[in-house]
Amino acid sequence: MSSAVLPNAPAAREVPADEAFADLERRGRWLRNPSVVIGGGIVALVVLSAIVSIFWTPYDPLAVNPAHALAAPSWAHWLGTDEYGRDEFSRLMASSQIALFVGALSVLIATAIGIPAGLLAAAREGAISQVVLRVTDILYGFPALLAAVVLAAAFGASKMTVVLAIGIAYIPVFIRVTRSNALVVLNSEYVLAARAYGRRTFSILRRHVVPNIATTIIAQMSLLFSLAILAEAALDFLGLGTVAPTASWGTMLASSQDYLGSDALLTLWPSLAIVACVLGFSLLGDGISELREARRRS
Amino acid sequence: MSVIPTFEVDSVTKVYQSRGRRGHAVDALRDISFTVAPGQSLGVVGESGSGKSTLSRLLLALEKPTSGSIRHRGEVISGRRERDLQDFRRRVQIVFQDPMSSLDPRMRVYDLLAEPLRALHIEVDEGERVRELLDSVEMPAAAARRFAYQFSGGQRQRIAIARALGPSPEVLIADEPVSALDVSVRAQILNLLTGLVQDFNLTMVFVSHDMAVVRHLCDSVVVLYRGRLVEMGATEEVFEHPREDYTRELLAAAPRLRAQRGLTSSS
Repeated sequence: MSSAVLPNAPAAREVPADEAFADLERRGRWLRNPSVVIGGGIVALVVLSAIVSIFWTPYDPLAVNPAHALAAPSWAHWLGTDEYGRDEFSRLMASSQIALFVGALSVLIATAIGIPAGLLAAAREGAISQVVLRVTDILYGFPALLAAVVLAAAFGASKMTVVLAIGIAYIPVFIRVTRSNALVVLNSEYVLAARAYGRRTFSILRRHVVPNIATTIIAQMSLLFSLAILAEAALDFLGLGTVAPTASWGTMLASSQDYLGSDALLTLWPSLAIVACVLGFSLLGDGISELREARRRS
Repeated sequence: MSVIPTFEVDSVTKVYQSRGRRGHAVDALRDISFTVAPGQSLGVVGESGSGKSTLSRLLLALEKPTSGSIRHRGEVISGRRERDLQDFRRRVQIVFQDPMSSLDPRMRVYDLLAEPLRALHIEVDEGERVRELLDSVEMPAAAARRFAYQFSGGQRQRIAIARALGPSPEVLIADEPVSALDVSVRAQILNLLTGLVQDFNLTMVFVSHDMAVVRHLCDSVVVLYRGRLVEMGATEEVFEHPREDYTRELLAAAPRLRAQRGLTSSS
């Protein structure tokens, strides 16, 4: 071996960045992102109203009161009453339970199947990957509405048929998102390094792939949550999901149709609720993606 | 020779079959043979695309040669099952070119350094060992709590080197370990590496396109050109009396190459 010391080697060690400062910066980023703040705020409001409605609503959302049918907004009934005299505000609150239930459960079903399948397709090239991808294509081609009709015909319309129809329709989305992001991680040098110290594929998925794609997946979950709420309202509207008299934004819209000329507010309230909710979840999803991109660039 | 070589590379060829419809094959390495003796520092030089990185992956048994074999201490490692390679993985470690991409951004330095110990079931006091490793690459113990992206390029490469030292390897494969670093910190990292090689009596395979660095660090050298081994021998011999035209070209190109790199690294 030749002499060890190279000429002109600076002796000073590089100064580490101030730790507390770096941590503060990381924490602040979330609260400075408008999409996260507004989206998160709306989501929090919806979740809160759903939770409160389990224990308390101003009126019983199912209590019929013909004497007060189609009342205009007042102090007694903040948003007025519907054709049976049921309190609109109470029904809106109760509906958020169904929206969140359907959204959460369908996204859960889609992720529970889609994420493992996507990881499998990424980790195992060749036959297994091909099978998973072909199944994905088939699922993609199968319309969710058709699935909902079939399920409603077979088992009767209920919120569970909606959950299943939406959940199955979103499986291929999660398979693709998971697979493409996992492939990026699996081809990285830090995974190569992990293989060089003996980590096997399963450990690599757990220790490197999942933590690195988690933010993307969560952002995708939030976006699909908003779409699920929209789909739920649509299916309820068509009578393929929750059925009257249970309150849901979709059924409220459906029954308000007949009064569109005289009492347009009955259509407005559930529409606003759907728009706000969809906007909230998709903003939150966008915000999470933005932060992830920002982090990647840094 | 009575000593068992650390590596015996025997007429290794690696062909990558491209996935396209034409499916034309790319020869990454063709009929390469050389040996690495224990304690030796071997330089592998060549321009980009000459098969250097393929060679380091083959030496790590991360890829299988298309033909030929690689032995480590007399045992064939090429194409072995992972579970038969545990001892080998403990003994042979790698430092990659770019520490930004070779360190998982979601792991704290502590976990980055502890991972090889856990994966290889090395029975040590994890915290103690991490401190020791950080110390051996002249990093403060407090670094353990942070993430790799909170450090400068040179510090990151120190972390990557510490990780490679974790399992107390006998062989260190350094794949262009300073090429991605600022010129100002290269010398520090190279001095660190030479110090560690001496302290721990490591066998080193140093892959580089930088002739000056290889001359400094390595006692013997192999020259690759388009996947073929064009020259090998003791470093001084090869540098003073290059037999092949290509080696002469590489040597002549060295100063110019450095000037160009200086430009790109400052941009």
